[in-house]
Parts: sequence; structure tokens; C-alpha cells
Amino acid sequence: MTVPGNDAVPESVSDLVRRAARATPDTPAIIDGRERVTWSELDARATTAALALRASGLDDGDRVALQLGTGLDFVVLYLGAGRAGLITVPVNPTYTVPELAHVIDDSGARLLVTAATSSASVSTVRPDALLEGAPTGDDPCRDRTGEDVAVLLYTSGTSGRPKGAMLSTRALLANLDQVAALDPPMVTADDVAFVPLPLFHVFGLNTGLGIALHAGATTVLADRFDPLASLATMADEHVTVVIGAPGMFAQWAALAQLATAFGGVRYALSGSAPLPAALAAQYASLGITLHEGYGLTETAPGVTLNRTGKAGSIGRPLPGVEVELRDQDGSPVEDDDDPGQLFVRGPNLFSGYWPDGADGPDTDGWFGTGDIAVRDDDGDLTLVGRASELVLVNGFNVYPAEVESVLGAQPGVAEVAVVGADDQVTGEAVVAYVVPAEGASLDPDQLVSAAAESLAKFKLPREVSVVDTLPHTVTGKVMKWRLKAESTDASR
Amino acid sequence: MRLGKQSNKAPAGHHVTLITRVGCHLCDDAAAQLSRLRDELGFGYDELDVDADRDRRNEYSDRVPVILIDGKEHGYWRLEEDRFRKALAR
Repeated sequence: MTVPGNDAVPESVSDLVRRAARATPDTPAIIDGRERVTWSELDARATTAALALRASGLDDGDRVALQLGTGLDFVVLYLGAGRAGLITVPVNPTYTVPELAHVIDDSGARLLVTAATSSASVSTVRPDALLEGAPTGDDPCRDRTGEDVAVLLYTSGTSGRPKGAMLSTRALLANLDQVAALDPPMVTADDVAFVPLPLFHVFGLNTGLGIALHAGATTVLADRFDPLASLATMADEHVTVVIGAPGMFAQWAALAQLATAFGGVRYALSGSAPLPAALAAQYASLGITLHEGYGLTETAPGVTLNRTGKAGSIGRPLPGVEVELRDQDGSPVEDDDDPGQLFVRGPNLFSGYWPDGADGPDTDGWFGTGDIAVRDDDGDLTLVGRASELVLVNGFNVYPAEVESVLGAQPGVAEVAVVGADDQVTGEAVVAYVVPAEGASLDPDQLVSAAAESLAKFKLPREVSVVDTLPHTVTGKVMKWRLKAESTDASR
Repeated sequence: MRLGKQSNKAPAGHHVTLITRVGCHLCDDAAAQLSRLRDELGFGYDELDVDADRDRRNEYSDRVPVILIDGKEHGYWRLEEDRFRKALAR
């Protein structure tokens, strides 16, 4: 519980809104389409949402599932759930019935707030109906603070069934403080930040929305990403900071309106999936640096940030976050440019997975990300693959990212994904899936011989399949487990 | 004066420069860390204000503090002690 004084250090995410409402009550906090809400209005609406949630019978520590698109309703209910002492469980609106059922069952959510008709076996309410029925009253101030779990975030999962990462208030605020410590700041109270990201994902929730709330900046939200409309919004709202995903930056790059929309942008952050070097170069040629951030749900999420624009790099650990590269034996990698699994330690780390905190940071506070990285002579990190994606060909390590970058650089290749497949002779073999650029036709044999100029023989794909599309997660990552399943089926 | 300057030099002759900004907390942290390491390792040291020189500002303004070893950029934001020790041992 928190009783905010005038200069109190924020003790919860919702407290950030109380602070901004005291400092700048009449400046815009959230812009969502035609709706504009000031900090004092947002503060009042968060309290209304808290009262509505308490009135629906929820009590301290109960889980409330928010299956909502990006918009004001999500923001108000997220903040309100915090004030009501509840744990927010954000849920992807595009989840199928079984996917939603898994999250509801696993989290034990007592209420589902959704705009869609739902067949979930849990009490369900539309956001407008819930908020309209709110009793009047004061801010209940039941905020979950410190080690209390505030958000249960089911990881989007490129492998297997989603698990609920327990993010405490301590973790959420720590990552915001880590970013806020940067000089010059990424976002200030004078900024207008455009966040066209899903808020049910950690990057939109705690990097996009969270950083703006922490800074007291104006957040411009956008649901369903529309490249042309969003560029118009950026120009109209005089956006100064953009926090987006690589796929968004790629779609904007094709449009003539890009230069005008980015005219007032002083900081562009790309996260949630690897930023292609060619895309970063395209923006650089327009004088815009795309800063790549790297993080994960379990680290709330920011781990590293590329502040120099060095091509292909995820940059350096945020101050306050420790990073260590470890080899397969678990000992720290000694030499520059040797790959190792990236381990993270810091106050931004999660508290394990719901409900019992399993698989959280070890007793020394370290958490293995499963990502393989190298550190160069400058101390900058570059991701080279996933530990779980490592392909062992005759016992030799092949990092799919290396093969992907070679194939991806061939003319006519729009996208490529490389996975390992069982092989009777070599144990595993490299299999590639390539998507041709529009109008291009690809010859698998030619691709392999072109790749042979820069890759050792054991790294070359045994098969190259030309496909129309690759399966993606909501944030644009390729779901390699699907490709792997496919290649396993095909080899039977 | 000359004597003082000479006594600042590390045996291997390394010189560390910290580029800072007034009011930057990370800069204060790095300066304190370097001060401690300097007692042990004995390198030459100076601090430069990023905003006091236009070229310096253009180069480093967006990522202070920046750590230079013998004039070459070693890193920014936070000094990673293991990497720093290795670099000085070269």
C-alpha cells in the first residue's frame, strides 16, 4: 500500500500517474485516436477503474485478465488494477479459445475483461460496461509494491506452451529507473512518444507505456498497425520519440511520408525482434538512427541498448544490468568474439514463473536468456542465435543466424529462417526456408552455391525450401518450432 | 607540476579519460569507480566536460559517461571492470 506524499519516490507503476497528475495535471497524458486525456483525468480514470474492479468482488492479489487491444481502456484498467491491489494478466486479443483457456486456467484469473464475446469459463465483462458501473469513491491505494507480483505476463513463446512470468513492482520500476538514468534521457516530460505496440506484450507495456509514464511524457497509442495512418498521426501529434518493432519500421520505410513524419523525431527505439542491418542502414541514410534495444519478458524487459547505431549490434548493458557470456560448461567466455550464452543479473529480473516461482534467477541472481551473443573489442554485444536453435552438424556448432545473414544477403531473398533437422548421417543438418522478394524467383541450388562462398561446408543447408511466407509471432519473430516440426515431419 | 603529472602515469603508460557531463549520475559513479581502480592500477587520468568543446560534444554527447583508454573509446555508460583491467594489461 502506498500513501503518496508530494515528493515521494514512486512505489508502483500507478504511482507514476499520481506523480505526473500533481506535477502537470493539465498536459496530455494519453492520446488515443480522437480521445485526449490529461494527467489529472488519467489519474481519476485509474481510480474509477480500481473502484469498479473492487466492486466486482476482486480482492488483494486476485488476478484480472485484460484481453484488450492497445488503447485507453487497457491503460486505465492496468493502472486501476494496480490501485485495486490486483495482479494484471495481459492477454493477446488474437488468442484462440484453447490459448485463452490455458492462460485463464493457469493464472487462476477471477475476471476476464474483453471486448470480444468469450466462451471462457470465467466471469467476463466488457471494459465499457465495467467502467460505467463503477461506484464513486476515493483512490483505494491498494497498490502492490516491492516484491509483490504486479503483472503476470505469459511469454509469447517461440517454443512450447506459454508460461506466466511473474513481474514484481520492484522489477517493473527497476527497468524504468535504469532507462531513466541514461544521460541524455531517452524520454522527458516534454516528449510526445508514439507507441504503436501491443500493450499485452512486455515491450509495449513497460518499455513503451512504462517509460512514458515514468517520464511524464505524452503517449500516443495506436491499435491495429496501419503504416500510412500512423505516419499521419506522428506528423499531426508532433511526435518526438518512436518506440516500435522492426516490422513497423520496415513498413514505414517504403512510404514517401516517412521523412515528414520523422521530421521531429529525436529518438527512435526498435525492439521485440532483431533489427535487420539493412533496415537500420536505410534509416541512417535519411539521418535517422534506429536504436536497437534487446530484452525479454523475464527482465521487464530492457537488458541492452545500442546507443551508437553500430550495425547489427544490440549495444551494451543498461547501467544497473549485469551481463555475462558463458560457454557450454557455464564458465565465462574469455576472449572477444567468442560466442556464449547471455546471462543477466539485476533488480529488473522477474521472480520466476507462476505460480511457484520456478525457473527464476539462480541463487546468485543470474538468469540465462537462452540467447547466444558475442562481445567485440568495443564491448558491444551482437546476438548470433538461440542456444536452443544451435544446430550440431557432426558435432560442429552452427548458429542459424550466421547462415540466415548469408542467405538473406542474396539477391531476391526477402526473408529467411534456418533450423536444424534430424539427419541420419550427421546427427543434425541445416535446413533453410526462404521467402522470395516480390517478383523474384529463387533457385535453391544457386542459393547454396552462393552461400558456399562464405560458409564452411558443414554450415551449408542440406535443403532450401522456397515458401510464400514464414510463420510469425505477434511481434514478428519467426516461430521456428513450427518450421522444425515441419522439417521433422517431412523427413519421416 | 611536471612531477605530479609524471607520477600519474601507469607503469605501462596507459592514460584514461572520462568524458562527463555536469549533473550526470552515471558519470559520478564511473568517476568514483575509476578513482578506486587508479589507486590500485596507477594509470594517468583526466576528466573532460562533454559540453565544453564542440567536437567533443558532437562525438560523445548522446552517451555519457564515455571511457577512453589512450584516447581510444573503451566503452560508455558503465565501466565493466573485467574488460577494463584486461585492456589496461595489454
